[in-house]
Amino acid sequence: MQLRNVWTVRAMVIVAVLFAALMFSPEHEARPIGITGVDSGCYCHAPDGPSGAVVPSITLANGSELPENYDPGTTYTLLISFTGGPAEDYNPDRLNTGGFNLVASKGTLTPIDNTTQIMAGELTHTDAGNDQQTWYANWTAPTSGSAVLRLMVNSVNGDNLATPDDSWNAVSYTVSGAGGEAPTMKANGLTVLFSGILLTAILFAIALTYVFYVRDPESFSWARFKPWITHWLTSTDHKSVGTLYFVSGLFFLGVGGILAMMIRIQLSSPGNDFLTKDEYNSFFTLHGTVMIFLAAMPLINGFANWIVPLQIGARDLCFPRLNAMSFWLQPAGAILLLTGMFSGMGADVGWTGYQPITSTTDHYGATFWLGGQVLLVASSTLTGINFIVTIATMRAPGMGWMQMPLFTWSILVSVMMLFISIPTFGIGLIEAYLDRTISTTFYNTAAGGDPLLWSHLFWYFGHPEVYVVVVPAFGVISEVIATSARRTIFGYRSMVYALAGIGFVAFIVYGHHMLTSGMSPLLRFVVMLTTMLVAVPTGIKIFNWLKTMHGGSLVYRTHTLWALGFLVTFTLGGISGMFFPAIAMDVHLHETYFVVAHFHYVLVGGTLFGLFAAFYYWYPKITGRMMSERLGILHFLTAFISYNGVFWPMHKLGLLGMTRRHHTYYIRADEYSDIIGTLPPEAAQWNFFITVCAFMFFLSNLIMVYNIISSWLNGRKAPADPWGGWSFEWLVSSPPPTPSFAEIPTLLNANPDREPGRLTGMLERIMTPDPGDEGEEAGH
Amino acid sequence: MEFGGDIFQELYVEFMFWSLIVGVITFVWMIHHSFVYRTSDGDLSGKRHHLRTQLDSLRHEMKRAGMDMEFEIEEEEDKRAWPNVDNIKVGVFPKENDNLKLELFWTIIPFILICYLCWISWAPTDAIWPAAYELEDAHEVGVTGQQWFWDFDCKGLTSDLCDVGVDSDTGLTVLSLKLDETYILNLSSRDVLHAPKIVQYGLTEDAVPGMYTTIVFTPYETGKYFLDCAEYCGDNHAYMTAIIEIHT
Repeated sequence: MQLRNVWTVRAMVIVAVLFAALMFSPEHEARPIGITGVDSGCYCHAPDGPSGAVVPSITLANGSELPENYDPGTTYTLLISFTGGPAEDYNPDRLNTGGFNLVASKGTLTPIDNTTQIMAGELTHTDAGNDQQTWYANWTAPTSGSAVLRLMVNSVNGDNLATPDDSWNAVSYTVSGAGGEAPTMKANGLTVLFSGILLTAILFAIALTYVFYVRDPESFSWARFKPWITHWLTSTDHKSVGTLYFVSGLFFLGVGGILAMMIRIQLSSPGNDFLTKDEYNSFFTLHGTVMIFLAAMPLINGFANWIVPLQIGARDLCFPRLNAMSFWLQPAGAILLLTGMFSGMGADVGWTGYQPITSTTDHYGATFWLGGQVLLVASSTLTGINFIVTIATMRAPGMGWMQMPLFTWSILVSVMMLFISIPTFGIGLIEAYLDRTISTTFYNTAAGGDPLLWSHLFWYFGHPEVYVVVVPAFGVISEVIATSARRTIFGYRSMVYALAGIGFVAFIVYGHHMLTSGMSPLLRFVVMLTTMLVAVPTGIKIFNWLKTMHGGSLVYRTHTLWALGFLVTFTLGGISGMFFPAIAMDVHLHETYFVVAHFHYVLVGGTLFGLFAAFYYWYPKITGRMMSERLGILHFLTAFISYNGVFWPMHKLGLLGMTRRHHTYYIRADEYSDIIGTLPPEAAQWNFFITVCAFMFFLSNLIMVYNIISSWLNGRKAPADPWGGWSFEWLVSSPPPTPSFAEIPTLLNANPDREPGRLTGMLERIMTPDPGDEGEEAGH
Repeated sequence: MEFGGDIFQELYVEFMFWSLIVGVITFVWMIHHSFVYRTSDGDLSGKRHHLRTQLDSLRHEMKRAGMDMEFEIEEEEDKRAWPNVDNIKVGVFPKENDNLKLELFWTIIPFILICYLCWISWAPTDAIWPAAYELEDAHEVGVTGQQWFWDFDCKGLTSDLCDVGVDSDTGLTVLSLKLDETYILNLSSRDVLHAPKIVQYGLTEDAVPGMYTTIVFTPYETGKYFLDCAEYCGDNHAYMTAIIEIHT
């Protein structure tokens, strides 16, 4: 058979299998959550959708229609009622004939008798008002704006059983402000988000097309395009895969940023309703997930792929095809993750996905969220295998363990942590996925499961994960500071031991995320001690970086500025992190904006700034062009200052008691004025300030994107070693040829030979390839 | 009473003090070195460095081609050249830059500081979770979280010690407790994770379905205090609030 036919048949088989899987996959019905857990005798919001037989209505108490325009501030008595449905098929003396839920977007609803009550800001019936089809309540009109009154009614057949024989329906009324004001146009949160993502994707596609065109204006033909796109879709070369990671990571960094902007608009003023609760909850979930798994980790992987083989003098990774698969699992996972969002019922569980809400939420996007993350777990596990084996076996001659550049060391420690911890997350995800699809009971308390099982599985991964993303930034900073100061990094051996120490301690401190989940006091103390101890190796690294500058000759390039900026923000983040292990302080700070401030200082101020430094540092090597220093400095100044404007005030907000993951917040005013512990008015001002700075930060990063594109096209040609570094990537030309090394170089050593320690000696005997095999490993 | 309660404030002040010290040392050191050890030269895309790197590449090419010629270029003293105190060269693992005494110094001193901070955090931890013998006179009150409201159960205590009502101004549920009495709040949940947080007192614990967790609460100031939900629990997580009223 010809090769082409074989591939066609294989493709068809795969499509057929997928189709069969879709046909036979379990169905999951979603229904809007009604009152849960209360034995109400009614099947609230039956799963079959609204019933046309049930007719809800709101009129004035005297039976006349609601006015088109309200009188500002007047109180209207409303008559809430419904006709039709199972309630009317039975004797009206039966119990539980009807229920309702009324939400007014503006104005205030107040009960006037014991048949209605306000519950969680919405008007609903009481136990006493359970047996009727009409209710009265007062509605006080607002002073301006359009009010939407949304009524949901249950028509219950009164057999006191929670069965699907009950029916429901909903209706909306709009009452406009005085003067016949047209209903204000309200931006729909989801529409804005998708417009933003679509715009980003379109601009991105335009940029790519433009770059493709400019490189060779004659090339806009299929004959030239096909090999180009085929190369990118099928390459296993570490440099191409690295570039794919960069492109994907930067795109999702933008998507995560847009999600963050949506959140910040919603939080810019108290009581805001720009995003509905559902939207807000799914947006903060996806912001965390996208930023960590689709932005930070791919960008780190991009540098790992590009730079590590160059630094160790290898022609490629040990398993190039596996490497490509690691990459392609990412867009697949991303599609699953985002599909949930596109459906409008995105996962609303927080990136931490605590149980039991993840298994019981009616947002079916949560199932997609779990599935997509399983793919990402697979991607990371394979990456781990690849890098550990490559670094252990493919180092150039002369490069023992203690002669590797520190960036490579940081990648090694990072993937080791990742490789050991992420399968645990995968297990938790699969259990949750099974809980949601085939009703297993891993996390279902009623059936003997334990929600805390997820917490352990997740945080056993989750804590090492945050070190996984920050440790490569440490490696980058070591390289950048040493090169910028034109000195050897101070204390190379202790830097390595500190990295290893952080890698080990990361696994025994994860309990600090569960300090308020009912731990025994002894365990709390142990966790407190170990968490505080992790500051010691981190502190060693910071002091070593500072000492490296001593006696050096610092040249200020953009990457230097970012490295110094990292030192500032990461130190601040580390210090603010020290407040949490003191458990007596943790109970006050837990789930407040103090936590949000801390982790954004170490994640953005640590990881992202480290990645920015890496971009400016290795861009000439990767693309063969120098970036514009002026734009770089502009980017640094605007981004650094606005970033601090976003996250520094969050410390203050946290101390004031503003809780995180809250759809909105209220400041102390009027009827809340004597309740202690509510937010003071300055909280609203700080939130608004943070939102403004967040927009500035978002826009400032576009300067870097522009710089990347324009320097690629018009930048000055870069020499092999523009910054004066010593590691092997500076030996090859910019950009490197493929294969990168025509002949594997040998690392010379300016230090006199020293007897390797016993451990090093043992490792080297096992790991160093025999001299005869040098030229042949790469490119299986 | 300051925000977070007494226990929090004491620790906070002490930790802030040490944070300031560590922060000041680090930033002064960084700013000092950033200024004192800078150089205005080091234009590595300039001609001299360009020549030097071309030379290095040439050397490697020649080695690869089997030509073993060694040659040196006379390098005149160029005061404008970027100082290279460690003689960093491409392809050469650089000269060691180390000082064991200094490293031990900034390993041991932070370690001692951390041991101290751990030590001072121990006692407050005990105060928040007292031992059983200290709780013999405590009153048990049930707090159950449910999507999306709090259910308080006074469990047969007199209404002076514990009472549940509704606040007329806000419509929120009110739990009335007595000043200086010790209460054990038994937390649980009927559906998903919740966490009652008495914001001003700085007390919280997760309410986990299927198990009981506790907050030991001894109110020491009268007033109406805000309680909100501090563990994400779905749609109305932000609106799951109540009031704890402390009276004499």
